Amino acid sequence: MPSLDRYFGFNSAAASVKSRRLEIISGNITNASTPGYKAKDLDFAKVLKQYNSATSNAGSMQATKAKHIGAGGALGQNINSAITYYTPLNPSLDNNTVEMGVEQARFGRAVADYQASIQFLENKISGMRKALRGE
Amino acid sequence: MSFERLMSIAGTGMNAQLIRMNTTASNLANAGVVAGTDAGAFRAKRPVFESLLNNAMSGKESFEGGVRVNEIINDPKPVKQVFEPNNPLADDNGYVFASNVNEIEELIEMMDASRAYQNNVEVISTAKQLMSRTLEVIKV
Repeated sequence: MPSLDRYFGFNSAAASVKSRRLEIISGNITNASTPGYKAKDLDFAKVLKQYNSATSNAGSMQATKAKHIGAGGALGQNINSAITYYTPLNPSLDNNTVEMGVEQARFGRAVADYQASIQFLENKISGMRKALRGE
Repeated sequence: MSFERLMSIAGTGMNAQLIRMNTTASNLANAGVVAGTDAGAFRAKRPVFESLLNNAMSGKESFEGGVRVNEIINDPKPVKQVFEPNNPLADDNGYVFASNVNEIEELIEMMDASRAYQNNVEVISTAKQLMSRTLEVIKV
C-alpha cells in the first residue's frame, strides 16, 4: 500500500531515527567510566538534510511507473554519517568525554522527542481511521 | 527491534559495573591481609573498561555501544611495609607486607559504580516504558 506508506512513512522513519538516538545516548551512559571513550550524539538536522537533498534532488531518479521503487530513499538511510562528537564542558583525566548530568538531560530530551514522534503517528492513525469510518 | 538493543547496551553496562563492585568488595575484604614478601602482598584490583565496537563483536551488532571489562589490573601503588617481628609471616628483618588497599578510595569507587549501575537501570526502565507506549499505537 504505497499511499499508506507515504502517509505514515515519514513519521515511522522519524521514530526509528529517534530510537537510534536513544541507543547512542544510552551507549554514552553505559560508557561513563570507560577510559578514552568519546561521547556521541545523533544530529537529527543532518539526517533530515540528507533526506531532503535525496528527495528533492533534480538530477535524482524519478519513479515514473507504478513498479518503480521510490528513488528518494528512506529517512535515516545513511545514519552513521550524522553521528557527531562534542567537546566536554569539563575535560577529565582519562580522556573520557561523557558528562553524566549532560547525558541524563540529553537522554530525557531524546525520550520526549521519541514520544512526540509516536504521538504524531498515533494522531495520523486515528485521523485515517476517522476518514475510513466516515462518521 | 531497537529497544532490545537499547536494553542490551544498558545490560552490558550493568554487568561491567557489577564486576567493578565485586572487585571493590574483594579489595575491601582483603584490606587486612599481610604477606611475608613484597611480591606476595595483596594489591588492590581495578577493572579497566573498554567500549564495544561493531567490528569487535564479529558481526553481533546488538551490543554495539556497550561496554565490557577488558582486563583487571593491580593497583601500582607501593605496598606498606610494617615492622611486626612477632608475626609468623615476618621476613628475616621482622617486616610483613600489608596490602595497598585504601578503604576510602574503595568506598568512593563503590559509590561511583553503584551510581553508574543505577543510571543503566534507569535507561532500561525508560526503554520499557517507551516500548509499552509504542505498543499502544496499534490499539488507538
